[in-house]
Amino acid sequence: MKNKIPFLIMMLILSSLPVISQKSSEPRDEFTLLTMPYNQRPLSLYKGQLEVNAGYKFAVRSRTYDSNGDLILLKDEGTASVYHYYLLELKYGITDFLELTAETYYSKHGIRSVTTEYYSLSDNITVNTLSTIKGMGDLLLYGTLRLPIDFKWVDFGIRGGMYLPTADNKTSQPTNTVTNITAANTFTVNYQFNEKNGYGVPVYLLSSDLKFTFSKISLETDFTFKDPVKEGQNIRWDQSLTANKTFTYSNNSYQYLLSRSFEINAALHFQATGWFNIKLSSDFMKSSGGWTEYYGSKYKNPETNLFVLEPGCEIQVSPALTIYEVTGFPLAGKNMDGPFYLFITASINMFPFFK
Amino acid sequence: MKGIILIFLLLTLDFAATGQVEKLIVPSDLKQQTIVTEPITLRKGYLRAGIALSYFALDKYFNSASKKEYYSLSSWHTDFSYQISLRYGITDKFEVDCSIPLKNESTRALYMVSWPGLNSNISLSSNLKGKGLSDCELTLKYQLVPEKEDKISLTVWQWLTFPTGQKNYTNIKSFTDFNLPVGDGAFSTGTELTARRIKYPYSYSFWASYAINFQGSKLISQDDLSETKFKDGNYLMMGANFNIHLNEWIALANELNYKYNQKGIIKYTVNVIKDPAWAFSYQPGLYFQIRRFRVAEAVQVPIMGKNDSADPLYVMQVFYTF
Repeated sequence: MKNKIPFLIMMLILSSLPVISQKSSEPRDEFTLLTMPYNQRPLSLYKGQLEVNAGYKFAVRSRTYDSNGDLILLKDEGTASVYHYYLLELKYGITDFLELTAETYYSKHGIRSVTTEYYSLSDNITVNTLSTIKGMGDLLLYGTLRLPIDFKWVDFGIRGGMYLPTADNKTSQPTNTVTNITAANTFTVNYQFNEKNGYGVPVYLLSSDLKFTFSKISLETDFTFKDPVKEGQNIRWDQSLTANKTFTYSNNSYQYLLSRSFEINAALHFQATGWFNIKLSSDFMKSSGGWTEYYGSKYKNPETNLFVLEPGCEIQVSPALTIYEVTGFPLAGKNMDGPFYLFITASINMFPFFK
Repeated sequence: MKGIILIFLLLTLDFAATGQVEKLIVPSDLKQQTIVTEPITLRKGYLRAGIALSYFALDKYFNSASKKEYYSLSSWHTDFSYQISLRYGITDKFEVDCSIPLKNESTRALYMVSWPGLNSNISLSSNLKGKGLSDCELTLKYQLVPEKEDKISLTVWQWLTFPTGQKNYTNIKSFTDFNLPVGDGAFSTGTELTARRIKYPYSYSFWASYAINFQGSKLISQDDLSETKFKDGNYLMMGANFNIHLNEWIALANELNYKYNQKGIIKYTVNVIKDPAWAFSYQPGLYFQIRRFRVAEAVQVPIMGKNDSADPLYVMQVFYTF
């Protein structure tokens, strides 16, 4: 029996050793890849992975920044407004290091101006002005190429693509009305200008992305540059009020060159558990250059910039479904609106051709 | 030989740990049920307390032709309110709820007046606020047909709203400087019937309610010298919802609802009629059940309507079951 005791102990140890000592190679089954937490995930999708993202952003445009960077509270002027933005994005991993993406959006937004009442000896005219911006955005196509190594703690990727001018960005005819006609010269004019989304010209996009992971903490930073390919053309509407209180319209075409812009984003992520990741990111964008033609003369586009703080989280609901939530707080800017926003995205992931 | 048998037994000892166990349902588990799996009324002795934050801004409305339009005046109204809610199960079929809303709304406006001939401009601005306790509500819920596995249940709700909120404009200093009312100024009561079925991982229900608004009196406008009698229109609501488990602790809720407000009346010397209104809305929501905590976020999106607001309403709720 004494001889058997060491043998017994050895057998017991041996039976458990393979479990605790040897780490098997990374599993590549569908479940593992789909549930890979953010801190262990590379910058691009896995080979054969399809991702469909549908997002909704609700923004309150209650503040704007003037040309000196001073904050103007639009809610104090009664001209704050709500912005609805719907995102649709499709990604596919060609290989473990190459991903293709198609993305577009729909948005609607109405901007009111300060109501003004004009008096003269004979007239009393109230003027309301509303500009609506509504419609599909352009189609963005881009590819992402990352380092051809297994992601352990560092990853780097570059992105290149183009916004194709698929959206009809030609400004629609205004739909002005005259209401509250109490006398020949006492009435309300409601100007309504109807603009659309879309750049109107192709716009290049170049971007780079760097990610570090130290255990549960990750740091990701990216730089994006956008530049128009060429000058664009749009139309500007003029209107005249007739004696019977209706409007006649005429339009003139004008040319423009979009500003080029760049954007820097840095995000700190914490993987609280396998299914929950929280982040704090900061985003800075700046645009400059470009011009817009007004009645034959070209005027330089104003330089703009905006700095936004974005806390957010990622919740892995199931292997196929992940929910992203981000809140945006504008902190500084110049010649830009600084809306507060909530952005929620449902992300569906699958391997449709996985064997 | 005995040694070999002993070795074999020792090596197979861990099978016991991975064997089959019986799932025990204990009271603490029941308090962690989700909106899909829990009964429509709280179980006997259970108390659920929570707070809901809601936000909406007036930006668009459905006009009398049911067309969605932006408000054209330079005015911005927001309502960012809280509601404390307490629910208690008196029996397994009978529940009493109490909700205490705290309103926080503001209306800001700027108006320019220009005399071009005199080269003169003036601006008029206002920043009106309404803060405080709004109208509290008491609700009783009773399961007429109790919930049973895979069967349809029928529950009746009866609620009464008390005009506990300040109904009049207060602190009136000028026509652009006063406090907004935070209460409606009249009692109201309503009845709802809900039919519900749980079929894991889904639950779905159909409901209909009718509410009666009683007559009250208040300052209809801030420049009124005395209170005027009024009666808001009674309203009918009906809807259907479908909830589904996305995983064991997250549920997606979907609701379609319709509300019809009958005409109201303001009893000035000559009665003023408030036009009937209706709205058809969709309300998706996510419910996170984290042990006894329930965190929910939902948005109500008006799809169609007439003489009603067309703005989404955002709600975030946190509950705890004791």
